[in-house]
Amino acid sequence: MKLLYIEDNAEAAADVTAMLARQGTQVVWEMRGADGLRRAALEPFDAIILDRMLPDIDGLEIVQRLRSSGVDAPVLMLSALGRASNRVEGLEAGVDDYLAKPYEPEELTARLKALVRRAEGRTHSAIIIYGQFECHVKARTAFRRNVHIALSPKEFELFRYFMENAGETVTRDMLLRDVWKMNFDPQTNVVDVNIGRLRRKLESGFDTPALETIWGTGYRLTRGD
Amino acid sequence: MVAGTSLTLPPPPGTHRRSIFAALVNRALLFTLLALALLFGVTMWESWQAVERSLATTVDTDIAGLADIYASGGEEELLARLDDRSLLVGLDGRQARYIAARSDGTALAGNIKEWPGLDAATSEQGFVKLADGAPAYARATRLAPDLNLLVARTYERDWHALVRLMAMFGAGAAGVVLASWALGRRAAGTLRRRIGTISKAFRAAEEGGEVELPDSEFDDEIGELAQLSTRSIARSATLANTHRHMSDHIAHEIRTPLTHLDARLVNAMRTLPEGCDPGVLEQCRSDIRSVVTMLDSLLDIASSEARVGDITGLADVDLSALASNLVDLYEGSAEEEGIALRHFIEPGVHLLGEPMQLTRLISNLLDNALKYVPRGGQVTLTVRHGPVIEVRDDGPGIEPALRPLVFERFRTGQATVGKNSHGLGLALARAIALRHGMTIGLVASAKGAHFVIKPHAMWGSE
Repeated sequence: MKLLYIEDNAEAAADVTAMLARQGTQVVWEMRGADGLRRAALEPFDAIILDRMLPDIDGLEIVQRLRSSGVDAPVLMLSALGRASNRVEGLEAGVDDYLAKPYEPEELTARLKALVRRAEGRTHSAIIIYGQFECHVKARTAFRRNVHIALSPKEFELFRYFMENAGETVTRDMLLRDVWKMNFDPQTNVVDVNIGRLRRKLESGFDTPALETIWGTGYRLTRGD
Repeated sequence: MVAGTSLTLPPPPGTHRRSIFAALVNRALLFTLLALALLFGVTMWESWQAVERSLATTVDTDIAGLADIYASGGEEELLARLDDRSLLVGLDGRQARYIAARSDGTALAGNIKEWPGLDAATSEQGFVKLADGAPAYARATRLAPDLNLLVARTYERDWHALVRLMAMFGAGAAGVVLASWALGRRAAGTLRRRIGTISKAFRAAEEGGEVELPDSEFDDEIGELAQLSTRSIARSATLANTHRHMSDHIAHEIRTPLTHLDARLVNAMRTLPEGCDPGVLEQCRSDIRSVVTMLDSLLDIASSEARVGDITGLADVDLSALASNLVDLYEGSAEEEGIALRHFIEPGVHLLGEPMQLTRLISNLLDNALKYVPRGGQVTLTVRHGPVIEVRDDGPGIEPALRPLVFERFRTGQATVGKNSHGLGLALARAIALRHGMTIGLVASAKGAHFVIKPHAMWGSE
């Protein structure tokens, strides 16, 4: 994976670059917004990480200029402005995802992977199969090893989200944003509790875990094998 | 359907059902019409009175002369003169009409065939209709016990003059009214346009656009209003931008070093020697998140308070759907805690707002309730038209001493000990309610806490 990172703070850039390099991701760093725009127009990138408060051009304006110049690489805004209203502004301006600093390194990785997956246009058929699990999207039913699992409508939405991101880390913020349409963390364990309920249903009658917890970040659907 | 309103969008430009300028023009026109009608009445009345006085004088003079003739020449002379005079027409266009008759009404001379209904014995005078149908002013008198005399003057020419005067007056009045209407309409249009320009500027400012007020160049009252409006809009915009930039910079300048610190802690944890407990480092990271959360809450409160009454960015929100979504999210947590989460959500409750802020408002109250209500307790969320949002629980409630201060920043009670609370949740809920034209209140309850959020106007109306 090759990423462009536009960030004026050298220390922050070094942290992210080192962290992603450890996972085998190539990161091209640009310190100024104008240079980032130029670089994005010249080279193809799988995704762009963009700081919001850059000294020369505002991050939101960069997104608009990227889009108007035909650059369609997904953009993750990594910003020190982390209030719900800031996130809404970012998403409305055209960024594909918004992550506030400080962040969990695993959360950044998970978000980037999800963005790249989405950008690659992996469409899901009416039936998604992963390991022992089956998700019948139209019929809104779930199966594990051909055994029907009764889920409430919201639990099914959660299950479907995990199936669409099968094998990848799904963070609490991603669940809140995509399943409950919330751009802030309610600071209580509501997500964990809902995942716990889904987990119990997916694991009931089986010996192997269905969902594993990635500490401090989120969850990952196992193959169930 | 809606008992009260929170915030509403102003009507689009030029769609007012009532215009103060049109009303002023209409009132001025009505006043002009009434004044002209009064003037017309008085003028006509006075003119008619003058005609009547003139007729009476003419008739009285004539009858006095004839009485003298009778006194000096007797009945025969009088009758002869009456016949002579009957042939004359005065220079004033009034025709002289006479009749001399016996007491039984038998006509002796004159150009009136029948005695009109005036009483000669009392020298009665007034308007009469003669036998040939001509209207006239007449006076009757008794010259001798068996000789009555009546002198009359027709007044067609006076009447026609009066009718001409009426027509001229009417035409003049119509001209005045039409001219007033046209001028008033033009003036109203000009005023409406100029005031509309100022309103448009305020709208543009609300939507974050450029403000142009050409009326500022005029040296008149509206010009002054435009100047003051320009200054006020510019000042508000500057304040809002300053507040926003300040908030962003505070967040940036605090979060950035905390991010570096957090990254160092992550690196330290990664390189921690085997067997070392990462607990302290984890606690440090947790503290960093706690500070960031508190900072965000404070900035959110300040932002909401600064935008009270500002409708920029607000849209129609389906509060019922939003609340149902939250119930979905919290039901599991409540069940895990052994708390019954009940909900009464009327369908189709809408308001003008920011969905994310409203979600946060309700979730803060639900978080609060679920945090303090013990196992076996109950939390109830109600959403009804108004809009009214209620979160009620049967937990320990709020300490009496804390109740008046519960919506202030950093106010926490004994119950929050060990609950990881900054005392900002309710302050933020209050700020969000105010931002949406509503007030949050902690209402009296036999047990637990009962929070109600509804439009300002509905407090005290129920």
